[in-house]
Amino acid sequence: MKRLAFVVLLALGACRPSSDPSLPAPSLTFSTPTWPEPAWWPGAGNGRLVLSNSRDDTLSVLDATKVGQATLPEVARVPVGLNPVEIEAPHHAAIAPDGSALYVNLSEYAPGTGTGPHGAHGTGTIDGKVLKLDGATGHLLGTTRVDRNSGDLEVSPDGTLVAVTHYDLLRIQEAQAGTAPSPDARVVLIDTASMTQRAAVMVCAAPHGVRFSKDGKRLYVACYSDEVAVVQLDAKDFPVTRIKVAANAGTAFEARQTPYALSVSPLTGDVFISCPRSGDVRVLTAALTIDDGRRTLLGGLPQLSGFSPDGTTLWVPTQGDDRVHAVDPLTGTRTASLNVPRDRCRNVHQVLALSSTLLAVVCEGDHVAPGSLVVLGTDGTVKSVTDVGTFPDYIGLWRTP
Amino acid sequence: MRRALVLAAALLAGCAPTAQSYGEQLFNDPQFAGSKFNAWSCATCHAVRSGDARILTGHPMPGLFQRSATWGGALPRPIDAASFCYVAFMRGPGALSPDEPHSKALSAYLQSLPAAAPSGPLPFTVVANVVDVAPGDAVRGKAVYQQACQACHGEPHTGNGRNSTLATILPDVQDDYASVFPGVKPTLVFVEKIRHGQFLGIGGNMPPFSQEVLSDDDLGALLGYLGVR
Ligand code: HEC
Ligand code: HEC
Repeated sequence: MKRLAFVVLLALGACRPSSDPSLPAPSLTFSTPTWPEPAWWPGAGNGRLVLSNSRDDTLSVLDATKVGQATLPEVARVPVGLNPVEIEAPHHAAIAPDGSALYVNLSEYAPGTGTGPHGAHGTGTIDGKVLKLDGATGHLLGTTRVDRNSGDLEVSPDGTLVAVTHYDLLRIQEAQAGTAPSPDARVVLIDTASMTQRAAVMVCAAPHGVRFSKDGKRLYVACYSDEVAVVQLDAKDFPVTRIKVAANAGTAFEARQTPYALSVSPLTGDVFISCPRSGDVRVLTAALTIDDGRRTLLGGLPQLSGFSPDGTTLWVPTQGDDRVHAVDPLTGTRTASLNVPRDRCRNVHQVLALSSTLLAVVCEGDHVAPGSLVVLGTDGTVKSVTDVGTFPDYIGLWRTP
Repeated sequence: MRRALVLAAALLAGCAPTAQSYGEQLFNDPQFAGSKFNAWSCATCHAVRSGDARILTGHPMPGLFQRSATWGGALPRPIDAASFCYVAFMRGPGALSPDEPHSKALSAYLQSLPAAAPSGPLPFTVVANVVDVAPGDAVRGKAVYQQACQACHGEPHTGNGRNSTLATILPDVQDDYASVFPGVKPTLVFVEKIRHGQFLGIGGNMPPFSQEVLSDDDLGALLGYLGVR
């Protein structure tokens, strides 16, 4: 009987495999699929417009084939981010040239999204992250830590690099107060295959808008400190040239033009710089000289511009007066100024020219209520208005071959 | 002896785990996280059957795969939801992989639970910007404490019966607040901890109580019962 009890005990002991995840699991037969998931990811379909909603951690995905019709439906509002409790503030996204992946920049800058005795969340003091999402499934393929207050990002023309700027205005204040050695921040270059940092290059104070040259050899960066930084990508150690945008340019501490965004002409390679404080667009030629003759004074606060697909018109949104302007890039002449429907569109942020006749205009809204996407005809007619998430601040066209 | 062998063989056969039974074991076993600092299992925060009287921070698991998203809509994929809990609350070594047998067994178990009609995400409203709540009815507060806090924190003042020695003894911790948070009412520090858990700059690994699982009334009652000033 004692022996029996012993054997039974032994058998019972063997009954319970360990739960320790570092030990192999017992051999099991699976009859159910592993971790089913709901249908939530819209995919590229026949073409999408993608917006990042920076104050509610979502992307709005719209059906690009319906652009120009009276209703442009939002086909999905997909959550992004790693932390389901905190707002991580996706500030801009970028789309791989072949549509295979989406890159989302979690800036961690989101004032007003968490306060208590421990302090405030979202004040721009913690590092940002760039996520790589699989275009086919939406699954997270990788993340790369970048610096704090990550700003704009773009994918290189060959898809191998993502460049991320850091709009770190806090660092300018710290430098002025003597608690930071310099007001300058870095551009981080991410290798998209491994999602690791290939380089981090100190560029200038509060770098924001970033674009690659058409051949992918240069990076143009709009800097708050009244300059454009040009990073040479095909040279050793990525040398940086800083070019002031005006003869009367100031400094990070006393800025006069505050470049915020830029677009590169697909025809000439010239760079068109939106300068909110001076209310104008300034031109840096591909030969790296400022062409004062083509400066365009628009008034308001110029934001993220875009070229028409044929490169013959530059479209520039201005905040303050909330209008969209057409500029002839060869002369710098303003050729048209369009109004947006004021009751449905506040704080224009970006224009994406979808064709020679249709513009997609991102309206931030008041950062509390939903923002919107307005489709405008280049003749000023309003084609559609679609409500999106809170504080949208980027739009891109997503297509797969 | 033959009887013993037969019995042993029968027992062994009966206990060769299925994916589902092993998954159930993992769901209920803190060891699944592989950390000696972890005292919690999934069952600490999630119900698997109706009639569970606890006030839990996490939603019930039955019906999980019929919801269009989890965590109030913030995470569409159930595996991402579980991974987040596994790492943030249980100190698990990393995200669950869909191809790894432990993770697959957990999924098999969760899929064996009763299904529900397709639905949207269950609500999970984080009270992000906290404001003070006035202490309320102590009798109600005692019941709330027992259902929501006691498993982790044990009895007030002693911590007797708490599931983790890492859990603070309540409400005595408030005695430190005068020096740590000068000029701030201890009730506000409690409200912040209960609403934010470990998030929004606080730290630790307590889960947050959403507006849905704990109303401001019940939160006030709790403060009244605990005698937070
Ligand atoms: C310390 C408490 C805690 C522990 C331990 C915990 N969770 Fe959670 N879990 C939560 C909270 C809080 C939420 C968010 C509310 C919600 O959506 O259920 C959540 C959400 C979830 C969800 C999404 C449910 C839904 O429909 O929204 C799943 C799935 C989940 N947890 C699985 C697990 C698994 C599996 C484990 C064990 C490996 C686990 N959790 C351990 C607290 C916990
Ligand atoms: C799943 C377990 C768990 C539950 C449920 C839980 N707590 Fe906690 N709590 C902890 C742990 C662990 C700590 C210590 C680590 C930390 O701060 O997160 C803690 C810390 C605290 C603190 C101290 C914060 C400080 O000042 O350091 C307070 C106050 C608190 N909990 C209140 C509550 C109240 C009230 C409830 C019920 C509404 C509750 N907790 C439910 C686990 C839990």
